[in-house]
Amino acid sequence: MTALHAENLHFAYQDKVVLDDVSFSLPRGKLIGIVGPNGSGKSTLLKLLARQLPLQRGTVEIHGKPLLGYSLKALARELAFLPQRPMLAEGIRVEQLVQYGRHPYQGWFNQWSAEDARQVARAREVMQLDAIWQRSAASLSGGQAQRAWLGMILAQNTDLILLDEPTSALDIGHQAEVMEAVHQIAAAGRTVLIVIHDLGVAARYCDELIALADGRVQAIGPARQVMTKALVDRLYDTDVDILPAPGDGAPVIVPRRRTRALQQPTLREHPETEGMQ
Amino acid sequence: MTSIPTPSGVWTLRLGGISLLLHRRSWLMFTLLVLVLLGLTVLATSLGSGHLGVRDVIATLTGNGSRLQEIMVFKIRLPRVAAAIIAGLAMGMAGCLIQTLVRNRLATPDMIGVNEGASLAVVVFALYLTLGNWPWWASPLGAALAAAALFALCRRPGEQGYLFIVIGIALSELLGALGDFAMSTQPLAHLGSIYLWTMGHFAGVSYQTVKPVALLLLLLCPLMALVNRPLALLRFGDATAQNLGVKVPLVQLGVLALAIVVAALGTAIGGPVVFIAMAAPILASWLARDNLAPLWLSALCGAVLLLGSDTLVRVLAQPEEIPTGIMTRLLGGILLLGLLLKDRRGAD
Repeated sequence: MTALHAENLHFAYQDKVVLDDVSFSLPRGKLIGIVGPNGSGKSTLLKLLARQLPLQRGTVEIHGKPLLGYSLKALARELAFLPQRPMLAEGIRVEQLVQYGRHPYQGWFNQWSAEDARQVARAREVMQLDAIWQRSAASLSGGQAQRAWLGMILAQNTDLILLDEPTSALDIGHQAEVMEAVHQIAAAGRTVLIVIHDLGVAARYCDELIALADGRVQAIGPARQVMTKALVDRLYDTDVDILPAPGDGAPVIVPRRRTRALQQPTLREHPETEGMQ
Repeated sequence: MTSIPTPSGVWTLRLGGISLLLHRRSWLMFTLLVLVLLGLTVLATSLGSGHLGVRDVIATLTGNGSRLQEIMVFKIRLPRVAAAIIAGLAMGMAGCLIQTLVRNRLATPDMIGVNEGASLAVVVFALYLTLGNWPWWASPLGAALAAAALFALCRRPGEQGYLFIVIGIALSELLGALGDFAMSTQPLAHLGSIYLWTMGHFAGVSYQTVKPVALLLLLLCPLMALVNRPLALLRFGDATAQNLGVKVPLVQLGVLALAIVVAALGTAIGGPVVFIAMAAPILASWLARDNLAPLWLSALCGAVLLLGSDTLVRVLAQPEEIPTGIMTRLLGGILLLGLLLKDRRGAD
């Protein structure tokens, strides 16, 4: 079953074409990663799908209904979008942040329902926010802050969740913390589309990958099939080694050194010459 | 039926199918500020030339004063007190609206040319059109025109807060220069009352100007309540606000229009008093802590600050009259310095 279907998407900023003829479908309940080099149109694609940018050409359907057929509030109940660097309002606590995720369900005379309380409590539990629930959001570590934002997204209780590089500024520990949380969300039956910079993380966590370059889809499919040396070399204009991780065999991508790589055997034979060249 | 868990820091009000969340700290502070304002009103009415004790004031207000006391309270002192309160309410609200919209504490009517627009309009009316007197709506008209020009130059205020302020400062210089030029072409003797007014001056105001401003503010209150919650969500940036279902451009436009009108009304009574619109929202946010757009608290803070300043200049300068704006400038400068120094300490 399809959660989202995009067809022939085309987008340009003035003359600069950012997306060109992009089509794909997102199967329901999967964690799907978008990878690609800088400037390949990943963020633009996500913003288009979230209606943060106007559709110039092509169609987007969510649960079979056109994107523009939803009111903003109705859309906010089907699709949640977390921008790359979300802005924190100063002074706000984690609890409040998560509660704001219920805004699409609330109205002037309906500011707090039993369902609101239930969803907020669930988001708190799934994202493990107990320890930081009353903390000021500005005082959190990078990983904690992203979990708090994911809590808000989860409280929104949408089928579709779009995340724009939620791990971009994080070290490997916090990256794992956030990706585990994202995986939890997908495992609970939600469709998650996530832009990721780190190919290894993408290959390990995602069910499927969409590879973008020059505004076009270069490959799409199950993560381990997509992540081939040929594709990565072409996408990033580089030369990499792909090794299977011990344990689960997930692809580990390491760049090869370009010029020095050829000299290495001689260096190994005469270690005393190192540093003399 | 089991009860629904309530978020911390709020009261929930339930009535049939209706549920309301009341930010606890904001409402406590609201009550407190109303009491302070009432106390200040009585105090301000009792102070001044000609002795009038607090007890006399209360007696007169409750209808038990002498004829003389009634004249002093209702005809002389209260109009000025009411003027300061109404102008302060408007400035506090305008400051909160603009600061939240632009996401910058420096974005206030004082900084971005609204005051200069008001002054210029009054100068033009008084010197060229109406010979000495100007209609009460002259300054709101000038302020609104200046603000509209600024917003036309900036288009989307939320996106580029910094640009908004810099363009505003340039605009205020331009309008200020025009106003000063117009004044410099006139004989000095004609300029006294205009000069005092452009500094922010509440001596001799009457209910005639207070009434229309108060009425318009009251009419705008439902709109304020309407934009309050989406305005708070704008503090998370346009993307997140829209993700939560807020029609961002519409809300921005509505808040902008409201801010222009309210800021303009704020200048109508006693002229463009500086710093109230900047200080009131900062004070309100500090009092309310995690309320993201404390509109009503900010209004009350504006009223307390302006009435306090006006009373202070009345008492200190007696029997001379010095403009209220000088006192607010002094207090505002100290406040701003304090905030900046506190920030610097925090950064070290």
